[in-house]
Amino acid sequence: MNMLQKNGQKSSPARGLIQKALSLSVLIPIFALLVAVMFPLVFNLSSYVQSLILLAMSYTIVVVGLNILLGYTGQLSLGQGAFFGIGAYTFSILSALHGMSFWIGLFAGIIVPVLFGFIIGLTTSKLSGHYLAMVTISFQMIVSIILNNWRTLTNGPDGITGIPRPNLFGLIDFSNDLNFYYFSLVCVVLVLWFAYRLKYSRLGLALAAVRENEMAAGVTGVRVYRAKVMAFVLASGLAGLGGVLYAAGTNYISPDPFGFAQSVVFLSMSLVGGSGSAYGGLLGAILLTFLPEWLRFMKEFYIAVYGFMVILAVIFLPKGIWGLTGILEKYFRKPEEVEALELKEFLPKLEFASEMMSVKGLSKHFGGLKAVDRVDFTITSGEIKALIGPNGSGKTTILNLLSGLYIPTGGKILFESQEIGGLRPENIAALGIARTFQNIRLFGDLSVLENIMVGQTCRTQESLLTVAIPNRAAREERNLISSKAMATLKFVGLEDKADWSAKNLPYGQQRLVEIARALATEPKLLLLDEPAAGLNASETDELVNLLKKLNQMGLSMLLVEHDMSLVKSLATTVTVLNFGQKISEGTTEHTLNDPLVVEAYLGKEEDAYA
Amino acid sequence: MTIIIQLLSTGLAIGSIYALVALGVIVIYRAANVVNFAQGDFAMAAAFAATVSATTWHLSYWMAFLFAIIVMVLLGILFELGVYYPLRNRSFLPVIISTIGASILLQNLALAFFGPQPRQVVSPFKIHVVDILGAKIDPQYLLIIAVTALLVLFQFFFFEKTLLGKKMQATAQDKETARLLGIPVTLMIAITFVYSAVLGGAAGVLVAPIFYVTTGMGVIISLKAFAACIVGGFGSITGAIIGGLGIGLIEIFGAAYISAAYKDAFAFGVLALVLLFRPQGIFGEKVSEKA
Repeated sequence: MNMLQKNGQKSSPARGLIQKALSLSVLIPIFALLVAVMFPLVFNLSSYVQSLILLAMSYTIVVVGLNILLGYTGQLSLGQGAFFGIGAYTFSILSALHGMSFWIGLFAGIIVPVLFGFIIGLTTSKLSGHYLAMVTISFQMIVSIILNNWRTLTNGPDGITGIPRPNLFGLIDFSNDLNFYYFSLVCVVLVLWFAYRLKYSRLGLALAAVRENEMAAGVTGVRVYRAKVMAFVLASGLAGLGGVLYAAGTNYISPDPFGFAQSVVFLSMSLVGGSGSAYGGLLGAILLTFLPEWLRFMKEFYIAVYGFMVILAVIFLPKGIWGLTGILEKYFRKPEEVEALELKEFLPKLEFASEMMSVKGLSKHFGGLKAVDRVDFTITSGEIKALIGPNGSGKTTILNLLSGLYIPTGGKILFESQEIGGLRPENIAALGIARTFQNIRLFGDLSVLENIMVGQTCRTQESLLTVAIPNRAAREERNLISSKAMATLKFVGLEDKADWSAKNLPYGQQRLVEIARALATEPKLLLLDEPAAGLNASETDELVNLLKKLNQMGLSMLLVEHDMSLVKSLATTVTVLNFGQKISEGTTEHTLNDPLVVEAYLGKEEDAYA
Repeated sequence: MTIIIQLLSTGLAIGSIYALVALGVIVIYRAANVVNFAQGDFAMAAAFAATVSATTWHLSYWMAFLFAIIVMVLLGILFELGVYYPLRNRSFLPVIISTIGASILLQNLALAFFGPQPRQVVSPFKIHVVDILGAKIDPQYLLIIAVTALLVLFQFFFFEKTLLGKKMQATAQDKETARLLGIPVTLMIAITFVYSAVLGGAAGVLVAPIFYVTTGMGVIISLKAFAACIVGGFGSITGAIIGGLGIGLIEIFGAAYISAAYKDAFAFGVLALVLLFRPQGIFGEKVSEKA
């Protein structure tokens, strides 16, 4: 589908609204909601089934929280049960043991897990994969042990009884099951609404960038640690809310349902339902709450079958059951119609020929290895400088230092007279330095346009509040971002691929998308790590033209490259490295003929004939 | 002094169990880059195999041990084919989930077949205590320590001195190159799974006369073994062994001198501290992704 707005086909705003209201993406949730509202009125449910439904609703909220952490942000947590437990216990201790009102309990039942989530998120922000899984398991085990053993606080294994249900200022009493069902339903709907909007917001995009490639997210301007902490906070807050509803729903809690096994159940729900979306969480929670009931005819084998189904789901449904609706989702969410700006309109304007970057005595040592050793060079604004040298001479290390992926061992990096050595990658991106990678690092599962939109993260602000509440300013900002993204995409000539998954593009086009993404951060200086690697001759020519055009717009570049013809056709000055040290520098023509440089690449003549 | 020796031998014995399971985790992790959450359930499965065969067929402890090991070889093959192989080209997360699913499956199959009552194996020793420097020690503890030491020695000999071991190491280090050199990588990984299942199984049969054998025993052993792996440095064989012994000692001494109720919390507390201050563990190398 063409993403560009076709002139003369604009429909009137009112008509657009009606169409939007009638689209399936709105109708189906409304229908589902109506069913949910009518269900208990039409069917006469046994109290056992009623309690299961309440259980599934509290689980839904917890699992949606886990989906934000795992599916949206890519952080594996096996401690969701602990946050669930902390929420339930905080609420129950305050409301049942200390007689406080439901609402104070509810508030504390969300805030206390959030505090724990914040601390865990903050302390583990540098960990990922199985390490993160282990921290969350440890947290889970410690919480379980404390719930069982700190009797004065939690009553230990005896648990807490007489947990109250809410009462809305004496107007509505939620203590009977039907009213409490509606109370829970409101919570579930609000949570789903929030999680759904989060996924398609700019914050959600930043989370997805962290999930797809943490390193690329950082240099593209995403505040990676903040995103991870936020995901933990949201996940633990929702687990807490789920815990409160669980406790109020059952009126009794003990430590058992908040153990490691429960965390595993939440994880299974998330994966079987589909961790990538809010609805997947809903589906997983409902399905796995009722599945054991449906499998009861298998008697003692039913949980074994449950385990078996988890394996099958992971093998055959990588995106969960909801992932199967991916084909439908394309129909639900029509590609946005985006009008492209002109790239020139928003790339920063530069005064030419001033000193832009100055590197003095820059060093990076790995133990005894001096990967970069006291290197000096400057980049004048508006120039293209090439950084060349044999393999292992420290070129990529320098790019990593300049883009904030490494912290220098010594020396200074001044960018527009500001020291940037050791700053976080996202802060460097925000100052106006963008980069590409030698081995392309795109956000594979995101669309091409979304990949580029991530580049705008450091140019805009979005809070959780604007995610939760639709508002004009946020919508307009989002439109502006997509227009800018489209502009860079048009510039590299890939506007017709905007809604492709990045990973499905051919290699050469992926390189262009990476450059477009770097441009979307509105850089003053572009760091290119072997941009022509793996490109064929015509693609390389195209690339050279593109980079020349960008340079004419005023963009400065630092180019790491092995292809000398490319260096000759682009760079005005060259710095040559060997074994981490600068061995030559000057204009391109002069430097490439320097005997020292020739020797570094080809060896001495005696060596050659020895 | 006697109390110290007593605690030391108990701590080392329990630690040996964690070390064996941790070793199994690391072997699989190095060969297939998979963190196996069902490793503790290997111990559980073997403990049940030994207990049930010993009572049904009136086998001696040693024959039951042998039987359990044979069962583990089969289970290792099944596990590799069913849980790992279909997912071998996916990222680490789906495989972790799959092993968690396998853990649920194994526990509940055991529950379905053998019921919830805890079982017990009779120790193979006629005497109940051995006297060491005045301390009274259960000979089973000494057996655990001795067998673990032997298995660790075997491990070093096997991987350093035999061709098969070297092929397995090559596979662990670089699958592509190993394949180019004609090493049957898939087979090597399968053997690794079998070896790992046997290690876990040995731990289970060794611990069976001390603990009650229950379907849930694997989970806590798994978790402690992971803690051991990370404390020692994930990926390091030496780290897994030292980490396992360390966790065992901390647990036993902590339970004796600080609080028995919070016994299980010590391991995870230490783990949390290690993760926060030295995430690469004691013997681990700091790895960072290359740009």
